[in-house]
Order: sequence, then structure tokens, then C-alpha cells
Amino acid sequence: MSRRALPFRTPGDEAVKAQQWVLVVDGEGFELPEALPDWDYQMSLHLRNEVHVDLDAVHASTGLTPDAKLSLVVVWTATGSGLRGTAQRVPLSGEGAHTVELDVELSGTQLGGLLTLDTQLVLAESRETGAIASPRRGGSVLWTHTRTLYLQGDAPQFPIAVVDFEATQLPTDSAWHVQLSEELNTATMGALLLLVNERKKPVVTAFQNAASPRPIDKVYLAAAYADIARTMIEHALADPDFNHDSEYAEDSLGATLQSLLENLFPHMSVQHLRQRREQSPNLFATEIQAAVSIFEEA
Amino acid sequence: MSRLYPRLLSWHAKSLYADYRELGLPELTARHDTTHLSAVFVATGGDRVGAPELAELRAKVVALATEAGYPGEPDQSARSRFDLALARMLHGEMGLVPAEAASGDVWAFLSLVLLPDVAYWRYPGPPRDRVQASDITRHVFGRLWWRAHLVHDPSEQDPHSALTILGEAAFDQIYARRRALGGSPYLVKAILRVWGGLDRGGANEREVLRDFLKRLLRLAPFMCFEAMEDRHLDAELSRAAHESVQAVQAKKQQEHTLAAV
Repeated sequence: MSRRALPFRTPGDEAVKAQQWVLVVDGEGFELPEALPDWDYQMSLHLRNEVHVDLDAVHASTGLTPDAKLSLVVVWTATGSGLRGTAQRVPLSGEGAHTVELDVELSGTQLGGLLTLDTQLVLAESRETGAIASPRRGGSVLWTHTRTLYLQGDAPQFPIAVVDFEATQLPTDSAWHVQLSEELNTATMGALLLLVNERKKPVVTAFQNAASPRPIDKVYLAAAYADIARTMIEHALADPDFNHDSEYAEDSLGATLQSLLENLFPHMSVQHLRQRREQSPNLFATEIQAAVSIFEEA
Repeated sequence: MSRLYPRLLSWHAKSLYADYRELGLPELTARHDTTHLSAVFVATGGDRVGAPELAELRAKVVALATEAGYPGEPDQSARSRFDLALARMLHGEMGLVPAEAASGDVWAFLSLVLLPDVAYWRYPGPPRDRVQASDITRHVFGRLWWRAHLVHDPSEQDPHSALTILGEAAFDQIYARRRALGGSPYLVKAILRVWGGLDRGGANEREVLRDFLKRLLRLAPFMCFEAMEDRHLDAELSRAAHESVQAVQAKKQQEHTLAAV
């Protein structure tokens, strides 16, 4: 559960409790993973959850009365499409404890990138009167539970195109190329494209098998991952305006690069990394290999 | 079934943009194509669009442009009519899914390979974001698809009828605040409903809209607009919109008073 400083009273942790999201495939439920590596736009998501709401405790802590109309809603946001929408809305009012069954179906065509599911208890409509500091405006968020899910994980974190490099300006014998936008505020899904040379059949096969790679595929993917990470880090450090403190939109390439650096080099400033790269580029390249744990899985 | 469109890689887009700088419309027409050697498709997610379908799409866009005076210079009214008709057509017929439509390279292919003549007719001597799609909210075609997508309501007889409620500049104010407001078709449609029925009492439209959107941005951190049913959301938005009208009128009144002193 996440908390924000809100201009009204909110219920405590004991009043609303969510279970873990379950992914339903062919009628069978599985614990929702952190990422779905083989997801694409044609795959819709069927998800279930259960939320326990003690309305008496909610009323006691917020100053609302039993006639207040509340809703438990699931709101999704997808960075790949930049869209947000409501997946389910369940009205709640009265007294006592309630267990709400959430059952949502998200169309794959609206999704992509990082999917965020916010389950929220909200005041469904505005109230003219109420106790001091109790919520008044319709839509006021009383409680939130957030879960994220990477759609397309492992190797294909961003769009991949298999193309004959002969038809491009890229060296014909190279295996892959990461296209990165210079505009770091551009949405990540539109700003990144991994091109794989169709002439390099073993590499193409490795990417095609990324969801369930064979041992040989793992070797190719590990080499590609290390090189792609290095390319992205170099891209970030080459931009003089790039910094951990730079403000980029949540779904932007700049934010993705900030996250990558924080994951690979936690507690190191961008300035420090820039210096290491300038002073000893060879050693820095090797440090990136270590940071991504190259060939560890292979 | 979603459709995958060819993507024009950014260095080719830059190169074509440079090549087209000095070209007139007839030369751009001669340069148009349904394929490009370096165009790529992403690996999964739908069926690839072929050359015959791209040719058909081009014919439809050219027909709409011709109705608006192409290749002659269009006036403001003709440009608006063209944009509205094109928004409906692109969104209704391309079969794009939002995640695919978020890619600038898809739109760069349309403006620099398939329809360079129409793109440069609509925006003569365009800045690069109009055709290279470095910012989709400004792309000659991409912004129209997204504008249509955000207002699309399949339950209406005309699913794109809300396109006419706000002018382009006004809609851009919402779309520019995409992260907080413009990413939610549900909220955008509610904003348009409320705006369409708002009595501005003579207050300047642009100023009222700007103030209205500022108020919504201030509410966004502790309110979930999508959580409310239509009528309750409309009531909250109407309240904010009326506060904006009053604020703009009060400001104008204050300016008059100061000017009189």
C-alpha cells in the first residue's frame, strides 16, 4: 500500500486489505509475476483479486457516515500506450465488513510497457456536509494499493524488429543495433527500437526463444543484453543534461535510462559515472559487464 | 486484429527531411512510395500492412486533401475541415492499436514516405516534429489519430462526434497535459461534455480552458477522476469549470478597475 499526504482523513491499514493479484489463464489462476516476457498486443489480461473492506473502520477513521457512497475501483495505466482507464468499479455503502471480488479483463490493444494497477477506495460522489477534514469531493482517494507488471520482459523490454541490415545504413555483418531517440522526454516505447540482423540466424533465433531460451540462446541473449545496456548507458552519459535529478515523464526514455543506471550502479552519481567513462573507457565498459552479471544465467 | 505499419528509422527520417527541404509538391508526389528499403516492422503484435493497403490509404488521404483544395493553398477553415475528416478516417480505418500508434517511426513513414506531398501541403516548410514525429502530439498525422482516439465513443451514432467540440489549439492544451489528464479517454470525453455545455458568460475561451485545466491538475494528486460514474464526474468537472469562469471574469473585472484608476 502506498501513502500520500492528502487534504482529508484516510483509513488506516486495518480498514482495507488487498490480497495478491492472480493472473487467470484458461480458467486457472497463477500468482501474477513481475513480468510477462511473451506478451504482445493480441494477449488480453484476465486478473482477479480480493479486497477486504471494513466500512465501520473506514467511517471511524475518515469521519464519513454510513450514507456516504464509496467505490472500490481498479484503474490501469500503461506506459506503452500512454493510456489510463477504469477496469472495474464496485459500489460500496452501509456498514460492516465486505469482501469485494475483483475480476478484470484488460484488452491487450490498449496496453504495453509498464502496466500499473491501482486499486482504490474512493468517495463516489461529492458530499456537502461532513465531519472536520472528512473527504468531500467526489473521486477523493481514501486508500490505494498499487501493483506493476512489465509487459514484455527479459530480452524484449522494447520493440524489436528483425531486418536485413543490407537494406539499412548499418554494417551488414553486425548482429544488432539499438536505435535510441535523442529526445529523452519521448515515450520509451516509441523512442527505443532494437534492430536484429536477419542474416545472423542464431541471434534471431535466440531473440525468438527469449521467453524459453535454450542454453545456446542464453549465451547470445547475455551478450546482447550487456551490449545493449552499455549502449544505453553511453547514450545517457553523452547527454550533458542527463542526471538522476533531471525531471522526465514517468514513461519517457529519460526515466528508463535513470532507472537502468540506478539498477546497475546503485548509489553512484551520474557525474561519477561520467568521470569513470572519460578517464578509463575500457575499464568502464568492463564494469558494465560486471553490473549486468554477464553470462551468469548462461 | 491489430495492424502493424512500417516504421521509418530515425536517421532515414532525418535524411528524407533534409532531402525534401527544397522540393515542391509535384516533386514530393513523385517521391512518394508504399515501401522504403529501410522500413521495419516490429516482430509481433499483429498483421503487417501490405503495399496495396498502403496505396489505398494514400488514395483516401489524397481524396480528403483534394476536397480541402489540395494542391492549392488551403485557408484556415479548409485546414480545419481536412484535419477533422482525416482524424476520423485514420482512426476508423488504419486498425492501429494505441501502443503501436505511440511509435513516432510509424508516423514518420506516413509523412515522409507514403504521403510527403500531403504532409508538406498541410504544413508547408514544416518544422521537423511535424513530419519526423519526434513529438507525436505535433505530428501532421499522428496528433489527429490520437485526438480521434481520445474522444472515440463507440456507443454514439457518430463515434467521433466530440471531435468538433474543441478547436485544435484548445485540444492541444489537454493533450499536452497527457500524463495527468490527456491519457484517459474517459476523462477527456467528460471534459469535452462539460466544456460543450458550459456557459462562459463572455469570458475568453482560451483563458477559461487554461484555468480549468490548471484546477484539474491541482486536483489530480488526490482525486481519481476515472473512479466516478459519468454524472458524478461531470458534476465535479462542472464545479471546477464554473470556478474557472468566475476566476477569469473576476480577473477581467479587476483589470478594468485598475485601468480606470
